[in-house]
Amino acid sequence: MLTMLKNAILNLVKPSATINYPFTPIPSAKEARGALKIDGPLCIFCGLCSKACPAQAIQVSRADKHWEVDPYQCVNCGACVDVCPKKCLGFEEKYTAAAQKKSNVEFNG
Amino acid sequence: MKTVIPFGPQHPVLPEPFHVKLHMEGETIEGLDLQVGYCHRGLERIFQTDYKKVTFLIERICGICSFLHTLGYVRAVEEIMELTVPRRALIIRTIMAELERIHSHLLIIGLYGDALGYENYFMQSWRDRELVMELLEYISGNRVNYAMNQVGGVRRDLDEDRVKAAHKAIDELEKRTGDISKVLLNDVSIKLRTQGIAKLSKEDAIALGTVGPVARASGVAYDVRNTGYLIYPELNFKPIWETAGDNYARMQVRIRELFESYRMVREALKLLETEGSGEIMLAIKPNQRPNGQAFVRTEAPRGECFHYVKANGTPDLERVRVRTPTYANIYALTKMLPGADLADLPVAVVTIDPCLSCTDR
Ligand code: SF4
Ligand code: SF4
Repeated sequence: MLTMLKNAILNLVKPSATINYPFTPIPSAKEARGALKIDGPLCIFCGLCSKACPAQAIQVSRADKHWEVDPYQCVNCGACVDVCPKKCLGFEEKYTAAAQKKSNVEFNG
Repeated sequence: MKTVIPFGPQHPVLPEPFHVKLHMEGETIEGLDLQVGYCHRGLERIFQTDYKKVTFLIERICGICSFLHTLGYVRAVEEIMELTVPRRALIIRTIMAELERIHSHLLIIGLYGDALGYENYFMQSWRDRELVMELLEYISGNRVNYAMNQVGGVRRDLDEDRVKAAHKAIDELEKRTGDISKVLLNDVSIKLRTQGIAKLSKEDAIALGTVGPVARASGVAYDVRNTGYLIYPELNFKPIWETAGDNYARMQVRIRELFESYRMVREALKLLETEGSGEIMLAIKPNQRPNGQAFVRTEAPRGECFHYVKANGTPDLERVRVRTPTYANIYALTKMLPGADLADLPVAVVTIDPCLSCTDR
């Protein structure tokens, strides 16, 4: 009973436990695997990332110099980041936001 | 009057879908037929692919034991390829496995409060669980599918800041678990609803092949961490067990395991600090491929989990087979429930901590 009373009084004076989303952004953990990003100019279109991807989310075409990822199919595992010889892949700390239309992230060299 | 009540697969008190046909005599359960298989996704077929990709796919069997499935799988592949994993990787794996046990146990303790009709307890327990989830996100980069393991080691190191954050979170969690365990273990009305109900005798526990906290609550001191994988022998791990075999004892085992896990995580973190940085991942040559078969046992939060891997020298695996703890435990319900009231069913189901997405795969 006393513990409950203590909790109740504490809750009255404590600041709000929730975030005023979407006006205040959600803090993300350091080095979180949010969404895949590519540092385009470095890419040599070798296709290793596409071969390593367990979710078949990346399409690379060497002939057209084209790199494409489906962020809704990507499972944010980081296998592609590990194999990339140019170290041009990485993660943003922010998670992929909800969207009305699904579109791929593309890059042409 | 005899009646048959279908229960599930969709039912408000079931966290996951399975079907029970209850044979009732008035309010008392006389017997039950059990049916699982509602979330079969054909994952074992998908695992017949590149052995490095399977690490990321296999953790999607279950959102709660996701680290554990990768652990069992990489241990099997490492056994086939005869790799010696760096020591620092083993310590990090132990920490992750125990943190996962902590978050799984806090989850089921919350659901248990909810099944008893004590929703505030559920919220408190899940609020505390958020601490360990945030720690796991900080360590691995994701809250659920950690992608920490790979054949040959772990993919992320724990730097000084992360070790410090882990110490802080564990201290806070230990304090808060002390608070919630006081209610769970001492409250009179909770005791009345759980002690002596849905009992599983030691003989039945052995005969049905139950594992994990369900077996240990019935007096079977069986824990695979005892077989000495990872660095458990160094942490002086001792299985925790009770003898009553009822709902109360099963949750008591989990609460006590939480404290044991806090102790082990703390000691493993100290090992990381004292031994300094080191290698965490073995380099594997592209032509080095698994050839052969292996079978390993790992202790999941819910009990013993089997992983079998068969490879034929190509990158693609021939077969991956998983037997999950819930598959062994769920049939214990057929021995536990006869004689209990209908109202005890939700609580009894929660105390075996069912994970159907593991079971059906
Ligand atoms: S592995 Fe790296 S360099 Fe090669 S295609 Fe992918 S992103 Fe480009
Ligand atoms: S993070 Fe994983 S799933 Fe996403 S594109 Fe890279 S390899 Fe594929």
